[in-house]
Amino acid sequence: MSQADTTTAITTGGPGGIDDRKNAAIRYVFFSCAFVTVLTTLGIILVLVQGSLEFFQHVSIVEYLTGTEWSPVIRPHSYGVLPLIWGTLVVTVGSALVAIPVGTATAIYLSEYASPRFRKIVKPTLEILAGIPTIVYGFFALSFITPLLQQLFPRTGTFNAVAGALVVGIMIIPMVSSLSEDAMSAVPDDLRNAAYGLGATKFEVSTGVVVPASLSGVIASYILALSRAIGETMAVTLAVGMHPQISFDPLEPMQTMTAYMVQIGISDVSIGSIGYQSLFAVGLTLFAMTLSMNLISLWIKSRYREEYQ
Amino acid sequence: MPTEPIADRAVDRSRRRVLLGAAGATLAGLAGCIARGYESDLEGEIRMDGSNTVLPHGAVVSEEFQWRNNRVQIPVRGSGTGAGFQRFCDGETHVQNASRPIFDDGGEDEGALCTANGIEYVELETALDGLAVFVHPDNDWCDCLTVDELARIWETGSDVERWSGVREGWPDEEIELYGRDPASGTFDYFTENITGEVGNIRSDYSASADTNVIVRGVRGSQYALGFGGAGYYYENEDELELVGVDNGEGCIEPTKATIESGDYEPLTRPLYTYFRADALAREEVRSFARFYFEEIDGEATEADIVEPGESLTWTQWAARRVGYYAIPDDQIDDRRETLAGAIAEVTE
Repeated sequence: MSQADTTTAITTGGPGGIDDRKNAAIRYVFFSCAFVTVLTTLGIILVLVQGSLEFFQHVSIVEYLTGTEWSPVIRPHSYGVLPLIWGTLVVTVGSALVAIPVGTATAIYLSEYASPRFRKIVKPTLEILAGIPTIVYGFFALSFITPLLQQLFPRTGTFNAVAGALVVGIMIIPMVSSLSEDAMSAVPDDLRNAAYGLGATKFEVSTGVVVPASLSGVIASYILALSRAIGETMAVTLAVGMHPQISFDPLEPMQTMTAYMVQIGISDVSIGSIGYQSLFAVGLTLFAMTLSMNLISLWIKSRYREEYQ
Repeated sequence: MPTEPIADRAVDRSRRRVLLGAAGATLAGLAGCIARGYESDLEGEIRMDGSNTVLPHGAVVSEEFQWRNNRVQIPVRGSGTGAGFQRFCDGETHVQNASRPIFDDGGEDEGALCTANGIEYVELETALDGLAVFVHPDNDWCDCLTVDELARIWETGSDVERWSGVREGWPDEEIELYGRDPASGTFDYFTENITGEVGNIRSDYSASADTNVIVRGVRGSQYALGFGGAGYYYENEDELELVGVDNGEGCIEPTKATIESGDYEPLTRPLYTYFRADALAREEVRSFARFYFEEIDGEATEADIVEPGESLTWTQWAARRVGYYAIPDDQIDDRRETLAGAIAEVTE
């Protein structure tokens, strides 16, 4: 605010000038953009809550949150969301196992080892991974990863959680590597030089100084990437399948919350039926999960931020 | 210097030719738009919605009808049988395609909605579809299942987990099951005719709204079993194997012959077209409805879906053209009578 005021003062040289009005107009434009965004978010929340309320008039929240069978459209009806949460978590944890080590190592390499020129080429290249449409990842999983898995483990189903987790993991590597690299590059060289002065090797500097010093940014990147994995839809719909179950065998088909929403969304369920309403309940649950992840990420960022200089 | 003007003129001429060509093409295109099909004295809009399964059939019939009556507009949508009935009974559409009959057994259902809104309708069977049961090509043990075996595999709470549980001597491997999701007419028809009641099905199969997903699942595993419209089998013949169904008369596979003759039981299902009674008071709707049961004309016979000596009506022709099966000839007259009755009621 104060900065805006000084700018105004400098450019107009007095109140009530043309530039002043221009500034006010620009401020309105920006404000209305922000307003539309906030309004959209509120609208989405409202729709989700309203639809869920209708659902919870027929189904008890306790049954919904603790039941281990999910079959809202097949009799006998059961409305336990745990199998869907389970499928989502298996994919999320699996993708984290791929993305976190690979992404972090890539970030360390890019920030500490790679030459600036090489970094300039590799970083955007990696980010292309994030630009590939997710349905392409889904087909990649179905037509490449799953057949490969079937050769290694013959009992692998056409639809299975491993293939889904692998592609989602690959998909979110750029989020981890790019954001972590930003955080690591921001660590001041003084810290590195002090460690070198004590006789540390490059590896010791990277893992013992740079990573801890940039931890808040690194962890925030993990959490952002994971909320992306939780919300990922097309790839898991194609690769993981439509079989809600709590299974400890990741080679079996499962169903994520997003995949369920796709299934009901494109099916012929009539509007107003419980199956249709369950869409909102699952959507709300998903929203609550990603929202809390984002809040945790914000909290970590502010709690563990290191201030230099 | 002297070459320049000549070059210029050459460019000019060729450019003019391109322009002329483009203008000609545009005119031809416009003319095509304006005079597509034949004029008739019919005019109006007939809104059609309903089953995705029946949509291609309805679209083909309406396309032919619009070609012959080019001032009639028939937008066709595929919201699904259930959602379509809701719109139909709300009075939003005039024609409803359905892959199952309307739910009307006195409860709070589609029929009640129609009654509440004062919508009367006429139900016409317009095509046949076969549901196929299929397995992986490497499945060399299962080429036929009895209805009873299918029921034991699919019913609610089924304890059949492995192929060996279906018949002795079959592999001791888990069956992977794929099928349509509960919101589809295919699901309703399959469960009703195999397990005896709509919706009577085990909950641990992979349910999909998209038959292509079912096909993908089955062709990916030697131990899979799936069901879906027979057309999907014929589109993927190399990657799937048909399973015959034995309803006490021996093993029968879904083919044109067995489906149109009614031998492929119980998985031959009728597909329906519903006309709103009050819409039939409009001449263009009436004539569209009759068109279904009129004989095809010379323009349509050249296609190889018509066998020599056969005379098909548009609905039969359209059914075969989009991969379904024709209702038997002897039912055509019944349909015409039903329709004539409904028309008589609103026009008198």
